[in-house]
Amino acid sequence: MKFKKIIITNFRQFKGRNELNFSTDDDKNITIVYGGITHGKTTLLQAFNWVFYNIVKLENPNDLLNKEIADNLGRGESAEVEVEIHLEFDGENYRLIRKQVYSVYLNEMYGKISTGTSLVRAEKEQNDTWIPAGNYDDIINKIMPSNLSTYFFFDGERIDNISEQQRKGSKEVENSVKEILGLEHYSTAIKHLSTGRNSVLAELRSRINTSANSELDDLRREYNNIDIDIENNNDKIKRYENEIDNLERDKKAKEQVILDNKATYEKQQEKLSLKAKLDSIMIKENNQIENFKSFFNNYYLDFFYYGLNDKMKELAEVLDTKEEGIPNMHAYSIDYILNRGYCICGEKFEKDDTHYKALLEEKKKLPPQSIGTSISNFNKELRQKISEEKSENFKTEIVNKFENILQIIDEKNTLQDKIDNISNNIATDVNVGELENEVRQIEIKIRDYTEDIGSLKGQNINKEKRKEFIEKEISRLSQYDDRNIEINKQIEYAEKITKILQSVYDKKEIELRITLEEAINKYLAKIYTGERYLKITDDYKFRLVYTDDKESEYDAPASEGLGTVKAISFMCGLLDVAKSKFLEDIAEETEYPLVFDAPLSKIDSTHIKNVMECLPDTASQVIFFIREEKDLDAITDETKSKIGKRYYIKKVSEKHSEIRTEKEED
Amino acid sequence: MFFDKEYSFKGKHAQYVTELVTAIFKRNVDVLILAPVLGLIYNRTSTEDLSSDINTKIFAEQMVKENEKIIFNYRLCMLLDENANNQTKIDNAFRYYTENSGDIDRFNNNIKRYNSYILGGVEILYELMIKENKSFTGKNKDDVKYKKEIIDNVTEFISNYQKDVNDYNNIGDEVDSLD
Repeated sequence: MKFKKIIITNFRQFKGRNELNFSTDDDKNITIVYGGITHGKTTLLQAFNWVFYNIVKLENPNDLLNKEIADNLGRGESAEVEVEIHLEFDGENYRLIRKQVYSVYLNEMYGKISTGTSLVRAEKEQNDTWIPAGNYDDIINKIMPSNLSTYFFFDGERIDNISEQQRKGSKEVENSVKEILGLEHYSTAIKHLSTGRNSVLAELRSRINTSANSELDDLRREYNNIDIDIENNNDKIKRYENEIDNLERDKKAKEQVILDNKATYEKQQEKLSLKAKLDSIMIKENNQIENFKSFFNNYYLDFFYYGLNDKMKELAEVLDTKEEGIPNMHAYSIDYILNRGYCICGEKFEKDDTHYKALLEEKKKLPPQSIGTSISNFNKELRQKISEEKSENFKTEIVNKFENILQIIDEKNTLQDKIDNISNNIATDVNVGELENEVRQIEIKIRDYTEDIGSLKGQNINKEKRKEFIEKEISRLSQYDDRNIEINKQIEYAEKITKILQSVYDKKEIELRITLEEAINKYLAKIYTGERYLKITDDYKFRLVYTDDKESEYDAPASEGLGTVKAISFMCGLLDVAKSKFLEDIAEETEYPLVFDAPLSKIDSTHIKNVMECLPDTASQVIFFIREEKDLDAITDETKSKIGKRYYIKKVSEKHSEIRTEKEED
Repeated sequence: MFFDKEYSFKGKHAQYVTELVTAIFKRNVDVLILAPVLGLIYNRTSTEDLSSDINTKIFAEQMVKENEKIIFNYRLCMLLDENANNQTKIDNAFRYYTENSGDIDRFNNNIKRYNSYILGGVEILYELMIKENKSFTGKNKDDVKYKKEIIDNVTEFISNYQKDVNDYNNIGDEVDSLD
């Protein structure tokens, strides 16, 4: 099978008619489509999915009409989305057309677009005209059944599922693998026979008549209760597993942010430590300033008094002024004379006359009113206070303290500059420390859920054992009733069939896993230059181990690029196995094309080269979506010569992309 | 007695004192203690500014506590006041420093004279320690930049003090010699 061309009209950002002709030449079976991020590579892949299966794995999958056209749609107007694909299958040319009409109805609010009629058409070429080929779904099933599509229309998302070790991812992969490789029928049969309350065995057991025997009746009741418990536990397990998936996703997103901001984090840490230093310096600065002030307030007089030094002579002269009090006379003597009313010379006087006043003046010069002591004390004090030494000490101390402060301020400014510098270089406000803490919290939650799941599973195992015991008891106790004997026979029969199916399934499953593992590693060895072996575990986890240590419990270190390589190897291996086991049933010698939207930019050029050389051999035709031309710099001329056609997605606007044959600079 | 009663700075002097205390001094009373010394040294006197209601007080309690220093400085002012003979200076310093000295008018005059040195000194302190920082007036006294400017000024004032005083005295001598 080969794709000849696809015509895309108004499908999402592909406004108007866009036609891509694929290279069908056997020697040049590669077509390359270049497109940057958001240009529309993924949308292009989804156009294939839509025309084939009416599936669109994009956000808002019902809004297929180009946004620019939708925005300009007037009342009563309609527009069509159409994808038409031409292909060659089993020697015949087919074309598949899917159309969807979008309308704004007259009675609707402006801007409300309704989905109108849709139609599909499958046609076959006969004598240069197109004739109906039959029922669309039948044709699709013949050409390429939907369960295969995800492996032939291969998107980057899928790679993440394979390269991730998340439960959801591995479960999905496990199911698709089993489905594709035909194990599904066995598992469906086993389930139908034995699993759950609607299974054949459950139905048969419920038919056993227990009413005649109260012991039997009790056992039946217990059995039913255990069944309900197990179902409840399984519900819980499913819920917890979903929780874990959500937490894992959250954790992964946070870890990515942490990784992206690692450098910022280190800067933040440095800034924090500088800030702590700055804080302590600022405290020191404040303390020193307070210390300066406190010293000043305690000793300022010591210093400033010395400014009076030049006036000391003048002061001494004033203080030397002699008071001429009568020697050895006391103020009381004068008081006595004043009281008796006449002087020692005998002259009488009256209060307030000149004689009286003269005596009062004389009294002031005598003790205790004499100021001699005060003066001499003052003099002494003065000489203590006006001291060059004290003044100089104060000055030296103040200048020292000041210089000390200047030095601290200098240190502070240098630190502040450093911090500012770091701040300018920190691009985001993402708090990595906090995120790491959140990741730890998530890990704790995941661990808790995992433990809960473990204990629930343990409970279920015990309950299943008890159920088994009860089954035997019921069968033993019910042997006395003819009808029950009949039913027990049927049960035994169903159990036996289940057992046989299970053992076939197990055998096939192991075989399949081994075959798949071999096929995948064949490709891995071709694509990957390092020493890695891909191991598929019992629960369909894909682990990369060192080639020389395949039994290792631990994964060998893997880069993001290696994850992609692993996914591509897986895909090639799966195609190989599928071809040999399953595709032969559909059409003899059919080879399938591969439409491949892989994040090749995640892997290095050597591996891109290997992938590019390996893929064309696995498929009849390869259509590659690649981000940039330089992604293919490393491929050999031989591979280059296999490229038959090249296209470029040109992004005209956010809502408008076009497919062109010539590269045009943006 | 003046020295154990509440004291009030008024008008611009109240504003100066408030700023000085914000900037460097611990208490209003510290300004009152230091100011007359500088008034004397720089021979700067001033009169009360009654142009506004602003005032800032020193409580009697603090006056009493610092009483010795304040009286000492009063005496210095009286002893170095140029407008009197030596005996009058001595009497003013050691006798007429209280209301109970028997001559209340003389006491009041002395206090007025002493106060004029205080106010002159406040102006000097303000001019040398604060004036450069007018822009900081009313700003947060915890602002480190402001504090730094102040100690800058204070240190400069202290460093140049002795030289300033000498220069001032020399000019005074020269002026005297011109008479």
